Amino acid sequence: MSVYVDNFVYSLGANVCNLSESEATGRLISAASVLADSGFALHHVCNEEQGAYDLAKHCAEQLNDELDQIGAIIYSTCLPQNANCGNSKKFQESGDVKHLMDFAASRLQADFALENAAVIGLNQQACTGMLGSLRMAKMFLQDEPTAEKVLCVTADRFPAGALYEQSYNLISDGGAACLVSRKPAAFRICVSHSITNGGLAFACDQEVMGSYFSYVHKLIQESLAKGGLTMADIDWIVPQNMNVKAWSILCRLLKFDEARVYAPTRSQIGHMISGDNIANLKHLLEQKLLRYGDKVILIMAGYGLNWQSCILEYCQ
Amino acid sequence: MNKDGILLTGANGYLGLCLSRRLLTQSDSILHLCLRACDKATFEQKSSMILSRFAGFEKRLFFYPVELSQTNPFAAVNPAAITRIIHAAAVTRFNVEADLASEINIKGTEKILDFARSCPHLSKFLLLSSVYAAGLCTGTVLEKRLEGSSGFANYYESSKWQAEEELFSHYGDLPWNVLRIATIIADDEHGRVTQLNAVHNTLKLLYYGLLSLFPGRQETPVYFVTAEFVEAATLAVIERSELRQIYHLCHQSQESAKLGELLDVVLQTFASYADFRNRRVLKPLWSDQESFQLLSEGVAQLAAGSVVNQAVSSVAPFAKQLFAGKDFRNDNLLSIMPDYRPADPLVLIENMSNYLAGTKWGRSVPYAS
Ligand SMILES: NC(=O)c1ccc[n+]([C@@H]2O[C@H](COP(=O)([O-])OP(=O)(O)OC[C@H]3O[C@@H](n4cnc5c(N)ncnc54)[C@H](OP(=O)(O)O)[C@@H]3O)[C@@H](O)[C@H]2O)c1
Repeated sequence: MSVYVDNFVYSLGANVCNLSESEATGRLISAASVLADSGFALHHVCNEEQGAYDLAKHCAEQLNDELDQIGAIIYSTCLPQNANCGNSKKFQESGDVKHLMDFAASRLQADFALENAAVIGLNQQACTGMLGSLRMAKMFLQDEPTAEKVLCVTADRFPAGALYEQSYNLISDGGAACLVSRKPAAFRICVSHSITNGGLAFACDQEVMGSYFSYVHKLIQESLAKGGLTMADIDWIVPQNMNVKAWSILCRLLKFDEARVYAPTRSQIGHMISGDNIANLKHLLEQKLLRYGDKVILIMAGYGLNWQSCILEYCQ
Repeated sequence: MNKDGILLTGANGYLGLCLSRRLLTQSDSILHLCLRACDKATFEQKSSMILSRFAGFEKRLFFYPVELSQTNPFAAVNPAAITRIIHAAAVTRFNVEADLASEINIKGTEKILDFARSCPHLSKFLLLSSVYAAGLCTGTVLEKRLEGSSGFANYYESSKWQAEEELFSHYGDLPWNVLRIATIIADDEHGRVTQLNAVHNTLKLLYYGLLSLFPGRQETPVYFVTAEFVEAATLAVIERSELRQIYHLCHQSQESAKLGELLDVVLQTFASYADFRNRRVLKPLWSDQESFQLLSEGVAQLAAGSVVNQAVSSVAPFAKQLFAGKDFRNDNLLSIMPDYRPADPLVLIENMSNYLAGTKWGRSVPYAS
């Protein structure tokens, strides 16, 4: 049974900051000039009133017309605490753990009246959570013949005082969403794949960088093999927003045309946690660069350490 | 070798100390040891370090402060007391800057050659060079003067070639021998490592999972020797060489490991260490020169000052060599070394890898400066 994905939306933290502003406020580790050379320019930080759930809600609002027949919500967060809308102070006052279980996914179900939706939270895949959601959504639809659509949402806001640089990438608070359905839509989900190396669960930035190429290469090779494909079958790579040089190197290793690595939002939104390759995919669609049958591979790497991919086929 | 006075430059360096020990134990020569020192305190510290290492040989040891960048650095040495010279001093980092390489490795060699001319009893001048004076040429490399026309991977290599050229072109009348030494990866066949170099730094990156790209071709031979072998070969040159000959202090390509084998043996050895195994470090990907260059530029920019950057920048200047397969011949050496015996290259690599992983890369040159 084929499963499709479409309706890509995203939402960003309200405050737009440039690199020098963030350098001045101590949000960065690297010098602004270094991040600029890496391809970053602006990033988005939530204001005081905005929580991670507000970002998710804003994404769902953009999909309001499509939210009929939702059989499941798969809500992923990079930071586990972003899955809880409760107030940890209340827990400290009362000792009642229910304040730690005010689940964002349940709120979303209630706020958008998605009564028939099964609710699944996914919060241990870091930046790769959205690709994990696509994989689970496909499995869910294949397992539940009456379910028509799955709403995949991801939203993260860094806590006050957090650095907005992770593993040499400039971070934005943001959310993204899309709909996975059994009805033909923009892309057919061909292959999902993931690798986790728990042995590097607490890798430092240098280890993250040090493992990046070999693991992404392995991820891609294994994904292709799963789909009976080769690199020559891939028309586009849509990565997370990261240092521009990383993909120059990977393209050389993969013998892939660097011009077909599509990350147009890098400079404007930076690494929007688990949602930036959804943002990039949305732009790819809007730019009408795709031809019928094109294969697109989405690639994400995240703490855990996790690497996930998803191969899509353009069907319109 | 009675009344033999051997002047050794770079005496407090790795090979300097190894050769001093050999010469003290296997000859009667007086050793005139040149120690790099700009001030009295450094000189005294270095000379007392050597005296304490070679207790019992005090009467055969003389020390001189020598800074090769200075004019007339050997003024304190009596030329009449010197019968042989071993020039080991050099800046040996692969990432040595062009100016420094020129100042010390080339002009410094000219200065010792000038001094050699003034020694009335000189019977041998040994220039310690490197097999990588051959630069980026590929194919057979004979124990002959090199063309240098293929370019070099770094200023260390080019300066070693130019130092040789200086000798051949302007001091050809001296009783010279050039010893082109391969990369010393261990003190002996047991794999103990006293001096860490770019090879060990690269393996450290691998062990800690910091290097996911590996520059080079799998089939490129890697020419490794032990210090023990270099000491024995140098002694053979001192005792039996033909004058004005070049000797390759290396093993032949069929006696050496290939880069791919090196990586496999190293990773297999590391896999017996739980902290390595648990991190599930993948075998790095073979990368072309440009990819590795991009990586080293990226690391230099993003992680300046980090361990990764220090290590990558010590490997990067050598990376080009790993694409330039060579077939070094050592026939001249074989002719003067009847007991020549190459170590099993894979066992040596395994022993060295065990030593490095077991001691967590030990300490670099604990008894040098
Ligand atoms: N080890 C190898 O794998 C290898 C391979 C091929 C060729 N070689 C050659 O063998 C020779 C010895 O190498 P090594 O491994 O013993 O290197 P090393 O440990 O780096 O020793 C180099 C020596 O040169 C001295 N030196 C550096 N700059 C000097 C200066 N400006 N004035 C006076 N002395 C100076 C150093 O003194 P400080 O330490 O006090 O600075 C040190 O004593 C070198 O010519 C090298 O090119 C070595």
